[in-house]
Amino acid sequence: MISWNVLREMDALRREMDHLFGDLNQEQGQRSAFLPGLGTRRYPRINLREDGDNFYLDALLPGVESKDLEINLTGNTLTLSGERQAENLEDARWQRQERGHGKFMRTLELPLDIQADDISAEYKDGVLHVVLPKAEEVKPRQIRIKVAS
Amino acid sequence: MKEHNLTHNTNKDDKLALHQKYSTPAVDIYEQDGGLTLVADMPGVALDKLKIDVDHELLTLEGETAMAVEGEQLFSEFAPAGYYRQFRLPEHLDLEKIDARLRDGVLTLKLPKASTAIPRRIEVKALN
Repeated sequence: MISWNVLREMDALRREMDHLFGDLNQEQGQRSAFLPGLGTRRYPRINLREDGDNFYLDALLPGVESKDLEINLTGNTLTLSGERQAENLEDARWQRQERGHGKFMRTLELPLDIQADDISAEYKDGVLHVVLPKAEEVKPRQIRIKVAS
Repeated sequence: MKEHNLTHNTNKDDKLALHQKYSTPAVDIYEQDGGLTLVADMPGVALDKLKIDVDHELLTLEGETAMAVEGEQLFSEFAPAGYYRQFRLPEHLDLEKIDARLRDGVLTLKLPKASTAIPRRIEVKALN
């Protein structure tokens, strides 16, 4: 499982870089939704939420064809990968180029076991929404306390 | 096409409030023979939540996102806010013929040149 450790290391390194550069970028109010020109930020941007039954992952992936998008789960590690295709614009004279394109990959370690067979993913308006149901045995359970009379 | 700076017509508090509510979409702008094309990443914006205004030479892009917010936040890299950005359009565009398309969270605006701005070659006839 050496390869996963390498990925985790890279992710940690990138996170450190994000901290260094992220503040600068935020100050300028420039928050690109997709790949930045330089590899200093995480992509795609994701939000992770949870309730008792599921994890909910949202990823900003504007302009990515769903056929170019791949989601994999190995153990508790979720991998989002894919590619945003570049338009062929040979005769264009650029005035501004802020949107990136190319291949991306993002790995995410979930804190609990997942029911891999019941994962559902939906892509709409450039946002990928993934629902990851928690495995039965790790769901929080409330224990009723009986009052001895 | 130049970006229109909000500080010209709003005070600092307004600007701050605007930044909290909206994020700036990344855009590509390029020129081809027929006119200008603007491409903006606005993930999460549905067609009915997108507003494009052209007032004189000021182009305003505004979009609201409608994302389901379930459960408790574990970590967050983007706010489910809207997008807002303004540009000052150059002259010689045909504002009546702007074509806007939204697909998978990407807005493509085609701004054709006014027919008077397209260079035309005038043939010179020789007088015999």
